[in-house]
Amino acid sequence: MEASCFSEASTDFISNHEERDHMVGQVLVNGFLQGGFYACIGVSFSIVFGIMKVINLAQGTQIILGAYVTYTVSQILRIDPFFTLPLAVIGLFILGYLIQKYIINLVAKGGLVITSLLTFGLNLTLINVALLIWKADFRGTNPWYMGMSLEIAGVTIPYVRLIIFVIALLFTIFLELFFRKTETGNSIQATALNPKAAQLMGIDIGKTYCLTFAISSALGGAMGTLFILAKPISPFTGGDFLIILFSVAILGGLGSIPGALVAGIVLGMVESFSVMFFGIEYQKIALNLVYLLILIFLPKGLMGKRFYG
Amino acid sequence: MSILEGKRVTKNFGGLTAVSEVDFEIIEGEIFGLIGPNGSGKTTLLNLINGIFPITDGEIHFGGQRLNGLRPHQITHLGIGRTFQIVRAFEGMTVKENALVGSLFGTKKEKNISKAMKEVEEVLDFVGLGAKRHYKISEITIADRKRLELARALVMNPKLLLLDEVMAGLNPREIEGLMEIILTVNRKGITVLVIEHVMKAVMGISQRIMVLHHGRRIALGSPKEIAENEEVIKSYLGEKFARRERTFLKRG
Amino acid sequence: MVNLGRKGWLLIGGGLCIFLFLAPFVLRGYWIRLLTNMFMFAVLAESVNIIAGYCGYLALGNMFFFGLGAYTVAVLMTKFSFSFFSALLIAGLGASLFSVIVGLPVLRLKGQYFLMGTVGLLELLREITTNISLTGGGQGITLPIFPGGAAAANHFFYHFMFGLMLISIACTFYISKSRLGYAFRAIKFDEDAASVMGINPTPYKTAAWAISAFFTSLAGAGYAYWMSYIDPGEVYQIMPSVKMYLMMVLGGAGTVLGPIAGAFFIEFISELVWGKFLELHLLILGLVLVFVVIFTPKGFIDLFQRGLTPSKLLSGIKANRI
Repeated sequence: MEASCFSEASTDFISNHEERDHMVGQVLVNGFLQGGFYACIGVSFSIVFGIMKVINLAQGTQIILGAYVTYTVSQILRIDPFFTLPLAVIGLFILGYLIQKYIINLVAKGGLVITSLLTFGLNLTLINVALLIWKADFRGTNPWYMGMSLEIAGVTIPYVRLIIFVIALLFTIFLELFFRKTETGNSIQATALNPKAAQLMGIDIGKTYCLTFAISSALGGAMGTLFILAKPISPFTGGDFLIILFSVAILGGLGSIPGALVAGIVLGMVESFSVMFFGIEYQKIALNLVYLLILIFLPKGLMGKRFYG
Repeated sequence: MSILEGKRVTKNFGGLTAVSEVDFEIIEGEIFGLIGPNGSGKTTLLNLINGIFPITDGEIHFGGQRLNGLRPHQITHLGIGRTFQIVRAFEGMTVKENALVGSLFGTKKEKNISKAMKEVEEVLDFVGLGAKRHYKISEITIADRKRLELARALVMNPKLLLLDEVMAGLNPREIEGLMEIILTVNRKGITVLVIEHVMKAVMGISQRIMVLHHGRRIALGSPKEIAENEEVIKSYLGEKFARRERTFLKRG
Repeated sequence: MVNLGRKGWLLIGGGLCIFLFLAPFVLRGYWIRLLTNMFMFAVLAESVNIIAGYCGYLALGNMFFFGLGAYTVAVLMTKFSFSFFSALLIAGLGASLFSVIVGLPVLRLKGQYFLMGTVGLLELLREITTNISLTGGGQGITLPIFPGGAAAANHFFYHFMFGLMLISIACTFYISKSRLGYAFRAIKFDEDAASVMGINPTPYKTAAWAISAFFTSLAGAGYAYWMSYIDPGEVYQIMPSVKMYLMMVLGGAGTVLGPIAGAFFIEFISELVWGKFLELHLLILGLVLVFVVIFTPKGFIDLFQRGLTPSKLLSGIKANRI
């Protein structure tokens, strides 16, 4: 990276090129690692949006519920929170399946307002449940490797962030393979492209939707587990994810997993760089602006293609 | 005098060429048929005339006015009305309200609602929907929906009427009825472009017919010429039909 | 549905208006404030009805006009010594202007993208307001107190919101019967077909949003002066935005009085719940949302017309379920 592309104001305290390059490197790496996480949560939102045309406003809270599962189980069983991941995945999978089957499927054909209001109502319900059980205080985990990091070429990589990135990436790749290579995955894609035709071919749409939502939920749960490794949560933390979920889903192209991966990383970078250039207070504004710009100029995503619908 | 002219009209969708270098001319006052196998570009051509899709290459002129780049509502105001192949009625409104929209916003841009309502009633009676004017769209039959499509287009006082497969899915009696209506409309001075698969109908009412195949024009002429055209027979009509039609036309 | 005839309903409506107009002189402060709140939400629900119920553009984040109105009045009155009424006018017209400008790119978005765009705008405006000093940042702004004491204030804002509600109802009524309304509805049902019928969607959509923005921001303006204190987190909140939708859907989207009825009902429940079951507030609201959306997607009015029986309720689900 050329030193000349930095704005003077934010870097004039850096006295030499080496330090500046390290800072850029750090920003890049931070953005990249964060981006992997964003990509994965974006995927969880995107598949429901792309396949069922439902905007799941409760997705953020589902992620947080996964985090709560991790918190509680790791406390009770006194194990490293990371190992509660399978439990969060299974728990949220079941929850998602039930929600889709008994609630969302009742209005799935109702159109945008109806489904959005429904998922918002669900969101409120889930938040309140979390409030009742865990109260409004922030809860966090403190894994033994917290604060420890890797040092490569002057760039600091916290272990926690690295783990989050790797796992998120693995899940994303795994999901993409699932959709492309397995029969179930293919039938889900078929349903997304043309529900009526899929039905005629014998695919049970209701079950397909349940499976899709369950997967989305499970993925969210896994990401929740990872999230709480790094940061504390409260029942309301889910709302913070909303703009990111929207951004990644749209920028990546609805329902496209590779697209979401690229979009997530891009977004992570944007966030990282905006923190560096504008300071942390403007981070949210930057993200919001980027989101709106994406909507207006790139509604079909980076690839310019609609993958579903 | 020609009312609609197309020169080398071409439409590409990404890699797919739907309409390729089609030249045509529609004379004012005639009924012009447009036929061809499914996917030959007929509806696309209509969409190009109407402004729903932008033209990739070539030009379309209506009464001397260039249509390229104009938006659908602007083209409608010039005097072109159309029906859709898959009926696009306004689902939440009644039959009368559907037609009312055409009267309020079509070429005439009627401002007074009660005046518009009276005109609409006349047109609805004309197409045979008078009794059902307060019905919701979900409550009427396919044939009625087609009539509504026609009524909506007529209520806008078009100079040129584009009909996209209005006869599809109708029984022989309904087809005869619709043919009569189209002929009456034409006698009032409205030029009509008909896309049809029902051969008896389109051959029976058109003065001239154009045939499209894979987006290209392969024939243009009187119904008799078309029925005898080798290429048309090969690609679309089939031998048996051609023989039958030649006898029908000789008689009629 | 009881058949009273038009004259009958007009009489009842008129009587109700007179009663409500005189009410603050006989009711206690708590009830006056409750009703004021209900009127305010009625305005919000009716505003959303114009852009979403009639025109079909689901502006889920419409609340940001509320915040705009609130902050316009707050800033003009505190930093520039405007009077309430002139600030009010500017707030209303300013919000409409904003909707026209923002609508240029945003109204071109379809369906879910538009919805998500308005949510994004809500978030963006909140973040910007939190970060600039003109608006007092995260600390909010304190407005001058209404002169004349608490009782006078109660009466003033009661009548303000009541009047605003009546005007918004009148406006919606006019739309429902006018040529404009036909254009809106045609756009809602099938924008491309509407286009072919000669409707240029852009000016109509823009008008719908501008009208919606106008009323929403006036409500926000009144709210700011009423509360004497606002902060970004409160006036740029997603919750009331969703509530407006709930009220509209519950009462009946695309009808004149549906959103009003929905607003009264929901606000009444909200008040009850807030008072007695604070910790369950979100839960109950959430469940109400879920139930309304599942069982009465077309709203109260539709249900009354079809007859309120359990079997009718269940048949309502059939339409939308997989």
